[in-house]
Amino acid sequence: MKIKKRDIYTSIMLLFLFTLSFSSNVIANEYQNGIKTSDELIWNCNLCDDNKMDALFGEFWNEAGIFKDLSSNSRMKWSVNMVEENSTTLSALISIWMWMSEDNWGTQDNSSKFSYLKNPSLYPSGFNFTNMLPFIPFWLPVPVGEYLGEISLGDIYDVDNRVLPTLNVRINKDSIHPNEPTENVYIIAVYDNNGILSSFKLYTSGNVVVVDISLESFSILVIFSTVGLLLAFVCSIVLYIKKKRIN
Amino acid sequence: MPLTVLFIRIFNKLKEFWNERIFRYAILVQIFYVILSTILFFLFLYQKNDFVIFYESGRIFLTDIENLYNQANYLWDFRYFPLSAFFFIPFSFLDFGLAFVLFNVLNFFLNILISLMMYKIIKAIRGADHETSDKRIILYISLYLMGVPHILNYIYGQINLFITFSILASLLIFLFYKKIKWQLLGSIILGISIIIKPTSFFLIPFLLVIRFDMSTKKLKIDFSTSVVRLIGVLIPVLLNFALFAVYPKLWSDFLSTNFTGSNPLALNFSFSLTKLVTNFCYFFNIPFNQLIILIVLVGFIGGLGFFSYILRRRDSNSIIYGYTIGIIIMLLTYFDSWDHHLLNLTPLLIITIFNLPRRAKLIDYIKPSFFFFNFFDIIFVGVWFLTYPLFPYNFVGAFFLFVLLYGLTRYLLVKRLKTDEAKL
Repeated sequence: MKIKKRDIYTSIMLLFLFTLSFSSNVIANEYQNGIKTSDELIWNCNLCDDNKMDALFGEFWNEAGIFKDLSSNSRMKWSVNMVEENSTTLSALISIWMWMSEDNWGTQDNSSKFSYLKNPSLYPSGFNFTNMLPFIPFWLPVPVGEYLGEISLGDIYDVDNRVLPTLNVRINKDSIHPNEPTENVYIIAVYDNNGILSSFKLYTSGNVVVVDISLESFSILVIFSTVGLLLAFVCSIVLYIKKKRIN
Repeated sequence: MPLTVLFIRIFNKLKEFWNERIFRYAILVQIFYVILSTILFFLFLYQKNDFVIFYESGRIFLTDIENLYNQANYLWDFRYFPLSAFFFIPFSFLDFGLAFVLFNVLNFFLNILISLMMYKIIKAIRGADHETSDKRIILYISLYLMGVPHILNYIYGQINLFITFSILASLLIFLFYKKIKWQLLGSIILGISIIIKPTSFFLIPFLLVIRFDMSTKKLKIDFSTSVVRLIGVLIPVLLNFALFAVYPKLWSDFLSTNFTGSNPLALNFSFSLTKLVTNFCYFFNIPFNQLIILIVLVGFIGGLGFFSYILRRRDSNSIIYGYTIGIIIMLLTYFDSWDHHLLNLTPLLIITIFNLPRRAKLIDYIKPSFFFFNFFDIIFVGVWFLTYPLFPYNFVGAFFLFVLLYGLTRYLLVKRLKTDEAKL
């Protein structure tokens, strides 16, 4: 009797597994805004090699666009005024304080409305976010990895979602204009869970970083976790050695 | 031996294992892992796992082999030798969901076979001072089966168990059969595992039957066995190069995706030393060449492991230590060492534990490392996600790999083991 019961359970389990295998498994992603109204986002420019950027993109590279006035140790602030969502788009109205080195932000420099299609597969094949610096967006709908993965991006992009949502960009020499850039340029853009650019590195061959920008977001949790990890590790080693010596 | 007799012996041995409560729990845990991974696969990870890549690679291998490394075809990069895709052709004919389920069921049965091979090897190499009953062996086999890295292996639909199976099969052959034809077969099996996934690539140098006798200052080489083993392991690997010769694009794409492209740069929680170094350079904007870092560290750590092996003072069952050191070198030096790769290491650690003297001090290096890798390493993956903005180094796994490397090289090199060990 027992064997029969076991057989029944096994059969049910196998049936369950096989039914699952044939069942529909298309779960549509519902993309959303990861940022909220009144969010303040600040990016720090940890490194900007002006001379190298001049050599790569010409001397006017930081006179317009999101990299206007970019320099080492400068900061840029975004303040989210409004986020909107309708059946086809996700958008956000944002006040921007462009790159500056002073602590006092003063009045905003401009405001912009950024929009994304809710269905990323509707973007045309070979889509480029922009054909000028920085080549990548500073925020994206969430979940970012899936959103990027569903867009049929242009050849310059390579999405790597294995660990952190990452957008790799390769801009070939002379691909923007003749002699711009003057050599191959690479970008690694990493996004956080809210779809906000957390790290941007523009580098040339040999991994020589020319621009390094990061989101100002060292939360207490990050600091606490790091210190906790190191302390726990050191204590464990000390305790283990002590225990072994006593034995 | 007729196949039916083999099956009966396997069945009887499993019945013997089943009498131990811990083994029954281990099987239940394995079944739980399989069911959990299947549920997670169908609910959340249907198109977000490694099996998608293997499945696609099998299809592309048949239909458009020149684009095997065209990463636009994959969710994540396909990085293995081209012939590895050959193994997935049968799965690519099936419905994707069904292929995943069958693949994981196959993984489950592979685990049973791996357990039996571990048992067979341990019985043969177990130190004289160990307990004569099999209880402790079954306990460790059960611990292996309960290992947390299995969860990720099942969830991702990964192929590590094929590698472990091949490694143990070749080890078993080398330990039990000394004739040349068996040496060839053992090394061919290892070569096939390298095709599937190059995790066992650094086991190749340890196939050489070579030893420098410190007392007589003489180098001893079993030339014929070494050559046969090298030929055996290289035959399957070189078949890939035949493909590279026919399709040169495959070669350049293979190099780019593995060594020179953007992939090795990406910040991640790999616990390899190479990754820790590249993460450090990335974090502090230090210019680096990932290939040079890889070569230097392989030279340093690989050299340390290999020369310790050649200079070994203990020759009995030395291939076990060679294999273990080979896997440690790979985990320490290749860019990406993930939690599920540890399934290639933990069975070898268990075998090592049983080969070392029961009360050897060296066990103090091996055992904690085994338990860390089998149960706790995954925690530090989670911790990495908390700390990476400030501290992007999953260093604890690398630490335990170094502890292992130190313990094993010490075992191979020291003249006299400590008092506690010397009497054993």
